[in-house]
Amino acid sequence: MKIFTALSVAFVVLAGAGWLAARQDRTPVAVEHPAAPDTSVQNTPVRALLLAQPFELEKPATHHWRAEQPQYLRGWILVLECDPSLLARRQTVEPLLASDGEMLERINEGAKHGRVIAVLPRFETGEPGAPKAFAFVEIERAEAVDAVQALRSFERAGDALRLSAEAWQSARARGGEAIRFEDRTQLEEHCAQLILEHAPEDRAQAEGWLIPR
Amino acid sequence: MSLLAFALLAQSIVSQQAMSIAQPATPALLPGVVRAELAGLSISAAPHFDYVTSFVAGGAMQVAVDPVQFPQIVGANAYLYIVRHKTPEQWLADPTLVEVRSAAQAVFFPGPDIQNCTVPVLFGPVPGSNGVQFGVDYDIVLDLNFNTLLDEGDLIDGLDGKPGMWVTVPPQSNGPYAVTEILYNGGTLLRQNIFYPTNISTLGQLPLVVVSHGNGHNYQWYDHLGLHLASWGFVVMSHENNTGPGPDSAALTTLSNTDHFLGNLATIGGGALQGHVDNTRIAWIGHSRGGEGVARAYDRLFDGTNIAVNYTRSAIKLVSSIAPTDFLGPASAYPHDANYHLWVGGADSDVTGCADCNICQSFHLLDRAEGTSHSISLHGVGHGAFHNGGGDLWASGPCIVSRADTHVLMKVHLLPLLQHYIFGAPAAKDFFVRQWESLAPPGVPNSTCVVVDMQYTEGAARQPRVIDNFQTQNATNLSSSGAAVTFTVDNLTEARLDDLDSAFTASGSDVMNGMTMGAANDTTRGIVFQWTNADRDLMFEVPAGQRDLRGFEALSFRAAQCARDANTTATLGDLVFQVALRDEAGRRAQLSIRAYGGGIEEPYQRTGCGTGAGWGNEFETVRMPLRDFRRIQNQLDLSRIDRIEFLFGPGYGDARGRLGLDDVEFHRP
Repeated sequence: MKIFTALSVAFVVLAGAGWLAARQDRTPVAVEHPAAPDTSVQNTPVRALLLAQPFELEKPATHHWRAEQPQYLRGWILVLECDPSLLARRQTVEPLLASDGEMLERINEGAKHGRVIAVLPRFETGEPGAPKAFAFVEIERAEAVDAVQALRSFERAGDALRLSAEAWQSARARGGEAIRFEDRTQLEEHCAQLILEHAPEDRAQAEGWLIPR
Repeated sequence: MSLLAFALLAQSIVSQQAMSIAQPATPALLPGVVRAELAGLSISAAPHFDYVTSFVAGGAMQVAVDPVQFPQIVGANAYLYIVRHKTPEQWLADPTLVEVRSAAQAVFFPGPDIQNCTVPVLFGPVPGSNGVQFGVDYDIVLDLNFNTLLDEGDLIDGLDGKPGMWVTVPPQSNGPYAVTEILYNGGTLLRQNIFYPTNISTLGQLPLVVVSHGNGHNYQWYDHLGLHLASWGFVVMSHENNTGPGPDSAALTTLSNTDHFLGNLATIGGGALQGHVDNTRIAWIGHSRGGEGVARAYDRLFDGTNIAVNYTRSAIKLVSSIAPTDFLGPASAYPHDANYHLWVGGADSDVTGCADCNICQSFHLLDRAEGTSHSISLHGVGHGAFHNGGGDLWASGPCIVSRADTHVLMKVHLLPLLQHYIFGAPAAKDFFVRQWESLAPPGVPNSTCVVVDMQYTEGAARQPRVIDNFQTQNATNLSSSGAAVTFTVDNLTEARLDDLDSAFTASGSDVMNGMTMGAANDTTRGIVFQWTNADRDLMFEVPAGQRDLRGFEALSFRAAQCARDANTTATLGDLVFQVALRDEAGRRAQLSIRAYGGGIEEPYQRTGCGTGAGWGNEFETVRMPLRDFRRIQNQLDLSRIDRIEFLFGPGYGDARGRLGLDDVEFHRP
């Protein structure tokens, strides 16, 4: 119990330091990340995971893409490389991104170069569990889906990108340390920086999120 | 004026009193002054002149005197004055005629018919700018005794409590106000792009227009609307919209952004808007999923599943959907009693309207609306042309209309729409009840690719007299008002206005081929029928007890050519037929619909969605003024109209055709 408490305190201190660092670094600054190694790119609709960074929120956010509208306090910020032909935003039914049995919150379009920034909410406590696979899933209607639908849709999806340990470690290395945000808005501002870096064709969206509060 | 002319005038006044249904009485305050309809546009078919309310500065404008009603005009000379509108009391106090053009115009009416009693209005445009007010009110006077006074013997259009005409600037023109644009960040899903008149601090409370974008779109992509409307005195707020999870999420964002905006005026823009936004006059405009979202947002207010803090449902004066999806269906994508308006692009390659995609059929929402509802269909316009975010137009088909031209068309239509529903501007209604061909303003794109079809159906609150909307009494020989329907047209079928297969390919078995007004769980109904090189008819009896139409202004119905049918493709073009009213004494007055905008437009010649060319069947509304029936048969008794007759075939217009028909009704002024 004491060990767990000590670890918890250490985690809080580290997370707090990360959060402070993140707060100081929230002004738009392009971060140089090494290019994804070619070996990690697969011939699947989701071709590669380029970056994965754990995050925490002080105030809970709503996972709008799930019918239960669950609140989350942590998760992963991801940069994915995808087949661009699947990314053009449609008003009608469009393929949705999912990881394992969970819907991703897709942040940008990325249809020009295939780079998508996404948020993967996690509902467990502690360090968010690592995703294992990514896929585009077909949902017949444009509406938030419940957990069962999300899981079944993922199981039905073909051609999932299954992450090797090497690919995951590479993405984690590029993502850097856990980052803590005050709220969802700060998380979005961070994602806007990633849009500017990885998907500059979606600059208008990023700039729209970075206007002063 | 000669003694003969005076004698004719006196005779006219006596005859007018005898024809009390159609003729206005001589104003008591101004004895001898004759009220008459004067301003309008000449038309190629009988009754040869369309007396209208609104004109656009720089556009066509004519004056005509009907010698049937005013026989004294034949051979008369006069000065034509266009003057600012005055009440009878103001005219009595000062009858001086003050021309607004460079000079009054000498005119001559040789007769014997109205075609030869029609004169163009010359001497420069009649001004249409009056500050922020939409339209300038004028009276038209024929000074028959040349004394520059409104007095005995003169004819005036405008002395019956309303102006003789309204003249507006082209609605695509900017209004009088400079505009300030700001970005506001209220946090997640509360980022907004706001437009307002720069001098708002001097303007009292202004109405609010909320814009909700579509999926993958951006809240900063509606500058063309924001800048335009704010220059006319609206506050416009375009917000970040949560469309990804679907239209219901979008609806929640529309609701929350409207509430947040109204609740945070003290801080938004440094408080510049505080006290200057009217939370009782709001319009919602949404695009695509956001277009479905605004209908769903109203549904949520109606059902009480969302409670707004800073406004009420009654504040929503208009819900306007641009190319909306229909994911949620009739229970939720449902505008209820809202004034509802729909935009559809014929070339839309995203929300396509094809028969194979129910969620892509925007017209579903229109036919669910129970308030006054209308639509504008724009051939050649793609899904992305409605916003100004650049990129793909999402357009497929011939004759694609550019984004810039689409924005002009949007401004032309949207400003009058808001002026009507928000300000009650009398000049505005003509812009959506007359066909485009009758009131396309100067300066709009004039390419042959620009084809515009409009529908207008009045809600129950306007108390239309519905003869047949096909929603009840489903037998083909019975109207929804319970009276007899007889016909000789071929293959008449009454059913849901819904293409039952997955293509627009011509099909003998899919009788509602090309119809996209409803889905399987919708209730909208109408009829289709055809004629082929032979005269045919379709007649609706007016039920006893509903035959007195003296309080009504127009016969209205909507009709659509049926795409890809052999009777449609045989001759592509506006389809023409005739309509007659009959009174209980058997007197008939018969007019061609060609007089009111050319006819029923041919389908947009887009291919795909099966074989052949011609996209979904586009209804357009035809409104025929009752006074026009009287003008060609002055004995027609409007207090005892017992039958409406639709007449098709070579004797009445196009030799062949296949037509959808719905909402046969009479409208009040």
